[in-house]
Amino acid sequence: MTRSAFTAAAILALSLFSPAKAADPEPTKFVFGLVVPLTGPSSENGKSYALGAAAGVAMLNEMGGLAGEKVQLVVCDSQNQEQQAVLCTKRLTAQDHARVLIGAGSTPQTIAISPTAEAARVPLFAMCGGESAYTPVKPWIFKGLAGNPDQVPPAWVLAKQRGWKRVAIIHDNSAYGRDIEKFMLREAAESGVELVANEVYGASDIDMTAQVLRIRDANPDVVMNYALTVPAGAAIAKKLLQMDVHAPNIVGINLQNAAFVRLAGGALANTIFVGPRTLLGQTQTQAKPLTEAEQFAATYEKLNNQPVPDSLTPGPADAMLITRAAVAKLGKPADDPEALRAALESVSGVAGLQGTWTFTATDHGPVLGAGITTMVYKDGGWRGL
Amino acid sequence: MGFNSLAQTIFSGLSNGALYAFVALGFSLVNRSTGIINFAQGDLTMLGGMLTAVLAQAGVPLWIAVTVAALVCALVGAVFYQFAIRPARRATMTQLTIMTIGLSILIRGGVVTEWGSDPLSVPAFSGDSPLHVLGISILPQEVWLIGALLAMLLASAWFFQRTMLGLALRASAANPIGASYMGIDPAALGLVAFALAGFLGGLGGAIWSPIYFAQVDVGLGLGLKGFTAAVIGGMSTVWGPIAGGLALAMLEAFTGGFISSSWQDAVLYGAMLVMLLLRPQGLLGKAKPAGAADQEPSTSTRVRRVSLSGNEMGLLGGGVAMVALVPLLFGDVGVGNGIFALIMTIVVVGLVLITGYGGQLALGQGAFMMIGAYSSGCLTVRFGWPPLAAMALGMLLSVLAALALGRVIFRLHGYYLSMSSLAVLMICLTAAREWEFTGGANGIPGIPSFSVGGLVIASDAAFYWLALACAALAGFGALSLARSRVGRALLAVRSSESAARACGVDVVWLKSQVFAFSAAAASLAGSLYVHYLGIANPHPFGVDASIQQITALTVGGYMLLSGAYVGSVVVVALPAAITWLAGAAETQSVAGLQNVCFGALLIALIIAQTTGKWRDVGLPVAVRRSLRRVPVWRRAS
Repeated sequence: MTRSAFTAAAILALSLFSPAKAADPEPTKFVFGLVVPLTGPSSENGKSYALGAAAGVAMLNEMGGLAGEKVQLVVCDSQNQEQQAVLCTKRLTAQDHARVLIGAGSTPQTIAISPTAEAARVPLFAMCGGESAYTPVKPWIFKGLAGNPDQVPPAWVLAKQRGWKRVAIIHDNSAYGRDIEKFMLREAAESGVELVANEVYGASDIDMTAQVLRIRDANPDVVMNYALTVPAGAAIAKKLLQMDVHAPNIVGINLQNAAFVRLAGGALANTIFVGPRTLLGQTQTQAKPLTEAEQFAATYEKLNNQPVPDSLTPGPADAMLITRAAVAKLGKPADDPEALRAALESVSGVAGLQGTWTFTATDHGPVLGAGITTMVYKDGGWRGL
Repeated sequence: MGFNSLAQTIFSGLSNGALYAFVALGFSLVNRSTGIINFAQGDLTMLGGMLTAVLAQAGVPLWIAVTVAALVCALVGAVFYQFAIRPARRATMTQLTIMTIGLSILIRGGVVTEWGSDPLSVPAFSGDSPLHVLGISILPQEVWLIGALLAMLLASAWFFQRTMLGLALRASAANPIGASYMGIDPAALGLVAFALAGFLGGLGGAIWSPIYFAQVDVGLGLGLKGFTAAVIGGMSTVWGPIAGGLALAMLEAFTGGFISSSWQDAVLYGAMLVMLLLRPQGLLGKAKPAGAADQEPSTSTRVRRVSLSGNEMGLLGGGVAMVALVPLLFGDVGVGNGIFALIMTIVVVGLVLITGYGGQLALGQGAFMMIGAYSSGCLTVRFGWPPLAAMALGMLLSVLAALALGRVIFRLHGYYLSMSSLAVLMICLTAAREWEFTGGANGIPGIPSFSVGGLVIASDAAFYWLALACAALAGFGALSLARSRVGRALLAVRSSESAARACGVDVVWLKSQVFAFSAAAASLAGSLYVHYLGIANPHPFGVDASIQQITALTVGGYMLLSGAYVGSVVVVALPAAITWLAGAAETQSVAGLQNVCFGALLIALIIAQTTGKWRDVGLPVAVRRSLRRVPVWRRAS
């Protein structure tokens, strides 16, 4: 290799391996690193996480930061790819000196970034539905988002309350869809309710007529439509109506957002959402006022000129509130990763936006229970049932 | 399933078939006129839907929005042909086809940059309320879609039978040389074909978007379905793609309705594979006369000189040495990027042989990566095998699979390897997603770190050296193969398959050997990938990964093994570099800009490689030549 070729290649490598951020954050800041898909099929979800994280950081800074340290957010787009998610995690830990990570938007991607977070000794709050990201316990990985064990039961509780005896479920064949199916089958077995249809479609399918026809033939009292992506969920909701299936359509947490409301059209009136109780506000619920939740809602509204719009936005905010509780336990700036991890593992009764959080050394994925409930979209906002 | 459901399934197949037919018609038009497989066809369809949505939301009357969307897509097709395809006159069909992949990436990036990746609703032309006919529920928009296809059919029949342009297109498709002797300009026909294909795609997308929203992510899937439909129906007639579209959609509807939605993709792509093997010209296509098989045009002597020169050994060694400096210079993030770049390098080295030397565009290397990945995952996690043994078995299985597949598919010519390898990839993806043994869509987590004997390679730095050693091994192995009798025979086949056969070269066996080498390399890369990530799941091995590998191959140079290193580094690290250059926080616009840069780079490189001073070489050689012209460098060397 000639000298010129070697130098040219070195110049290329220099430019390509250079840091992705222009400047490192100040060392005295507490950096949260967010790894989520801002592009790709789940970008709608990624945007919700990013907006929630930005509002969470603003809220913490309004509260005085974490043990006197200002809080900063650095976001990295995982592009819905495992490889990119891992590279983001490396960048956030090595260059941006993130002290807490939040990500990665899907269960396989969260599992993929976990070894990197563990190797860097940075706590990771899992933003995914699957329990396998934090069960069995991994020392540095904590649940941060209401998962599938949280979002499936409210639909079945409602079914029992309403006396719906025949339940149809529809989901895709992604990791999320298969995990949802597992919990749905478990609920069906425990509740004794008849599961009259269990339909699956391809994650990239553009037509679900065959599945909806089988649901129609099964004549269900309710359809549980837990799609991964908003277009698929909205298309199924519309297709159900087109095929004269007027049974209520219950959709999962990641469809409880403005995009679904925008796309569902006439099917919106027939749709029941699953989401955090705190989104309903104090007028619809008897729950005890949650100061942090109210503060987050106010900060979010101030930043975005709209109320908290969906179920995913509070995820990063809860991760930040839990971190705040852990740092308060430490009573000093959290510059020792092991001390921060140990403090996180001992937080108890933290009132978050999705429910009450308690971690122990043997449980990093508490079930949120009453924090998640069913609701409808009416008169421009979320309303309790 | 009762009569109503059966009738509804058939109507649903008809409606989806109309969409697939629009896309397939575009593929067929371009292929018949230019021989190119236009992989941007699906994204032109997506662009039609997005433009309609954006214009309609801006208050433009719907019919104007649809017309403008279709015309803009036609313009995109024409501009692409005029300023990208046409200047690259010396490009091979493989290069031109890769250029359309560049256009596909460019369109997607442009849409995300301009409008984001959120799905947009598009108002239906005549309301959302379904019509009920004989118990079938029909959306008015579906009637519009089927009606538009029928109108297109009539218009096509008139165009190809009554107009001079249509007759010229048919003449050129039937006998390009004869047509040019009669004064028909093939370049002008290419322009018309790309514009018409763009128009068809845009129109189909615009009419379909009210049924399933307008969104950027559907382009790739639509392109694959349209491509499959065109293959099943046959590209040599107007009716073939339409029949293929309808057949594909019916197969899809009935598989979903009566067998299993989960295995739908496997059935569709399996049907394509069977069609390729039994009737490669498609359902309604006409078989080419004996001896008229498609063949890559000859490459220039310069290609051969570069690839077989002793200089390649030095370049390869230099490339390995350069990459070896990364951990010293760039720390953890550089090491992370470097590991993924090296893993990609191993795959691209195989592609240099099969695509560069063999002239066969392989789009399904992900299938062999999956064999390696799942062999490592299943055997180490479920049966406690040592990682090295699991990796070796994965490579052996890949070689056997490639040899078996090669014996069949290399009897076909032209773009059939692309289609077959794509079909195999899609079938493997479906299988991995549906089998419990492979962990389903969630995959197999908990894959241990790679280890040899008692030496566990757990840290990033150690894994980097392992990946580098594997990449060097693959590179020098490929170089030995390229410089052996096999490599020389491959070049002979690439120049003239008939002449090589006449000299006693067993073409099928030759290509199968090289395919087996590239499969083994891909399998090795797959094993390394899952040992590094700790999880084996289907998602990372899909068509997107194949596109990245092809991009790396193009950047590095088709016949330059050392280019595989540079190309992979560029493809892995370019997103971070663009974000850094954009000086912005992570936003959708920056992500879109990354795709715009990738697409533009792919197109520009092929134009440069096939026209000017950068002809037939990749980025590393081109940069070296350019730097030699700088006086200070000339003096120093």
